[in-house]
Amino acid sequence: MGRLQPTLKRWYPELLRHAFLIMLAAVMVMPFIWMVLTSFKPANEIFSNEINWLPGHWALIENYTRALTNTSLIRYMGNGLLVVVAILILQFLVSIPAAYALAKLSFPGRFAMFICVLACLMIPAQAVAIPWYLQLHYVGILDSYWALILPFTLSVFGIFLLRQFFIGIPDDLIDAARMDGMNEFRIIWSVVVPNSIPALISFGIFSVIAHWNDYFWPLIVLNDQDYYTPTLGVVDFRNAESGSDYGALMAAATIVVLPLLVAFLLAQRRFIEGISTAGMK
Amino acid sequence: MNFHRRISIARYRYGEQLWGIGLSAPAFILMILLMLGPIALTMLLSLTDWQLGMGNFSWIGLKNYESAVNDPIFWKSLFNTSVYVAVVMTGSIGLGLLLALMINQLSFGKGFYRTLFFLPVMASLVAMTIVWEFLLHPEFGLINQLLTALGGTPNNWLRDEDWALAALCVIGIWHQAGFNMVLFIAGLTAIPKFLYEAADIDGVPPGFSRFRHITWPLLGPVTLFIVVMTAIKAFQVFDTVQILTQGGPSYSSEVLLLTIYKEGFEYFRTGYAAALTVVFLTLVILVTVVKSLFLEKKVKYT
Amino acid sequence: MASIELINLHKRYGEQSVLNGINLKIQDGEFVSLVGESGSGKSTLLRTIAGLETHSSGEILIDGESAGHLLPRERKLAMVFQSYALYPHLSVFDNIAMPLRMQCKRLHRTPIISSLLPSSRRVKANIEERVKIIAESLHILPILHRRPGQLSGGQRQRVALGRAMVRNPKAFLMDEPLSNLDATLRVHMRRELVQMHREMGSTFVYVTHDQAEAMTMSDRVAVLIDGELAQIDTPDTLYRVPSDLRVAKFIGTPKINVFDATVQKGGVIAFNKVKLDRELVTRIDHTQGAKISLAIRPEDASIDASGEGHLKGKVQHIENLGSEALVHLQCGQSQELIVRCSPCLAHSLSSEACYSVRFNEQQLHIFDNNGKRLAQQQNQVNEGRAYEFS
Repeated sequence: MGRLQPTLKRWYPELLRHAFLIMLAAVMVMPFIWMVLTSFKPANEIFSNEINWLPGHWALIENYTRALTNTSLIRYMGNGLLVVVAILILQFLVSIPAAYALAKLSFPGRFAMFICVLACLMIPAQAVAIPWYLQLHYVGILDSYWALILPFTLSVFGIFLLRQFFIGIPDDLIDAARMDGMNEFRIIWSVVVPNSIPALISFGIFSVIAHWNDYFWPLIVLNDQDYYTPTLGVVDFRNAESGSDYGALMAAATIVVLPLLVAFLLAQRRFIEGISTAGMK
Repeated sequence: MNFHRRISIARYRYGEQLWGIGLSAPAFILMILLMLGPIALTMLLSLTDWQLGMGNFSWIGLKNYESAVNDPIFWKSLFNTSVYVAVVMTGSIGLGLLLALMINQLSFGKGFYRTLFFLPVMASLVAMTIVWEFLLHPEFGLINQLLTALGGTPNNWLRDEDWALAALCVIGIWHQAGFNMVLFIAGLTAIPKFLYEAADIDGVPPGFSRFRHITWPLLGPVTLFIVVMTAIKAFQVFDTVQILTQGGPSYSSEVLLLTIYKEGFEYFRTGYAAALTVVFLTLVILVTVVKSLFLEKKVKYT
Repeated sequence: MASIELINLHKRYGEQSVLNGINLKIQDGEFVSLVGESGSGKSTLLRTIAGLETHSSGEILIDGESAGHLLPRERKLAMVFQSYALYPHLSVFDNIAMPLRMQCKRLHRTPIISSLLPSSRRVKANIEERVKIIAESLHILPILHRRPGQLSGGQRQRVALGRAMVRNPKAFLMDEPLSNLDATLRVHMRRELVQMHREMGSTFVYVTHDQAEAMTMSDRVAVLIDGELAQIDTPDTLYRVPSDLRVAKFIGTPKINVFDATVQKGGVIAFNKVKLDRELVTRIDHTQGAKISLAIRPEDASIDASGEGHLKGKVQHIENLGSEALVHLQCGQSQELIVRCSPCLAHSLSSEACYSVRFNEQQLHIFDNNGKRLAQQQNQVNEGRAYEFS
């Protein structure tokens, strides 16, 4: 778009765009800002009829302490971390070999399996919630970490995404590895995986975001507060407070949102690239 | 030795096939166990009157579906869901496209705006829903306070029959627009610059004409993907509704997944909930298929 | 080092036959090229020898022992790929060391345990030494720590060779290893490979579509056509005594000139209304009027000043290569002819003019209806090997 030094007339559209975007951005980001600001305010400033933008009196410490002590927010975050990591590891263990087989090996039933994958892609998790619940109920592991982790070990999206990526790995490379004496396991671990890091990271990001933010499934499956995930935890807090301690509630929300937000800000490029490439396929 | 040799030959001949089957077996088994099997089970359950905890049940054919058809709540739910999907799709796709177009033409600050608008997408929706609840608070919520300051009348949005669904739509658009924007940007950057240069030479005026003749057609595939994704995600609305309105007031914000959840996991009318799930699944698949076919024809441009 | 023998090798993809009854014996230490058009099956044949593809029937013997049931790693062969297939995420050192590491006992291969074992240090040192020796011989010692992505084409090629050499294989299999290099580098690498072959004395099986490359490098060249082994011979014999019309057409630049002719009574060959002095020695069916093909190399044809040649042709095009000239003539409607001559003679010719062309009848190649070579006159038979006709 080679432009020469823009004259004032040329500046105009750009300036307008920025103005418009800044306004919209302010609206978009307002909930975050308000959330954080409210978590800094004492009750009297929250429950006033005037708009107080900035806290006059900083109740930061009190709000956050209450958030952390009135509920087991730390524990919930820990649960969330455990569940998300476990799911991701299991998903890798299941999806990577399957994607490799579909991409690089020829075996009977390969096409049928791929069709199955495509069919399952269309099935939203909520559509199978009832049978999952029943399966877990009859095995007796409702209300546990297993209930949160097991149903998600299969990620059809992961298999699809990784298969598309693995197809791009040169066949020659895999043949050379076979000549060098590697068996298929070793090939997956030593050749395919190291050369697929971008795809694995993209998938990892998707998975972590999806399961950290999951509300529907934990809601169905958990009763015991000890196993609550962060989403359930923060809703539980809201229910307990029912409209009185907004300061602490906003503090709790901030805590829950913070990890992913920070991770995102640090690795935005990866996040956005991952989504873009997945979408383009 | 002969036996050894036979094994060798078998391994050589069928090795690749065995590996292929072996490596994909876990995934395949899980697909049956967790996806395909459960779908079949759901469909079967929908034909019974079973309720969780009961010892026995009976096959009642399509009675569950009949009950649904005769149930005004079901229709309200379906209606609300459709409205929600339509509004959120238009809003988030339109907004996403607008943002993408504007951001793409900036000479600096692209990454900055991209990040900002994408924030709502990956922040925990549940936590942000709670924040939105506070924002919409009838007395102390920011929105009402701003409204009052600007001279309008405040409202208890989430408890207002006429506005509850609308409020949810706004949150839905807020949540999804950034995602669509990112995809549109990716699509826009993929359009080769020389096409616009050729348009310059051909005398196509900048602005809407250029958009209509170059940008829009070439965004076809990305748009298709975005439309399908947004539709499916919109159909799956649950979190915000369950937390903020529980479907009220008077079912004005009742959505399909919420109805399924209540029937299945609060009233434990498993058979009926299964039938509703089948309806839900059919709608989702229908949307995917129809949109793909419909837009596929339009997309067969290049 | 080892010999490789293929006995009646067939490979089918469903109904389609890719390799059709290949019989090939490669001696220990020989440099044999497999040449052919794209799709002739040469790469498939190489990969089948390597074990990367399974064969449908027939036997593969390495060093006289049956190897057809062995996996690639068990056959102790090394392969160099056209794309080099280097591990992009590993350094040059690790690339070359990989086959050695894979040969270690299983326990040594697992990541954490191996660092605990006492003998692992010795093993590591051994590997390091081997790699360094190979790297030195290939002049890639200074780049051992780099990654393939940072190397030039020639360097990558050497690393690929190093990875093959380090295994001390029974034979080297090469699948068009020089195709991705530019022309000068390619010529240079050809010489290096031949030298390496001489120094190492190993068996080389070399696949290429460039027949000139095969001819200059090999002890023997095997020509594959449509999945069949048309002929395997020394380059010289292949050139002078091709056993099949397709082989004659494939070998030699510029392409050999081919004409249709008929056999008349008594084995006399008639061509273009002229009876040749040559006669057919062998009987063929329908002796009278039988159709045959004649082929003559461009250098065995000459422009006849006296006008008494076998053929008349109109000059279409003259290529002056400096040391020689190629004259393209059009004879009749569809017949084209290329004649080699000296540049001065070519200079004296004028385009679009008609000239008479004479063949050296002793150098005429005769093929029957099916493209198979027919015996020539007595004094020709003694050269080259005897052939069988089907």
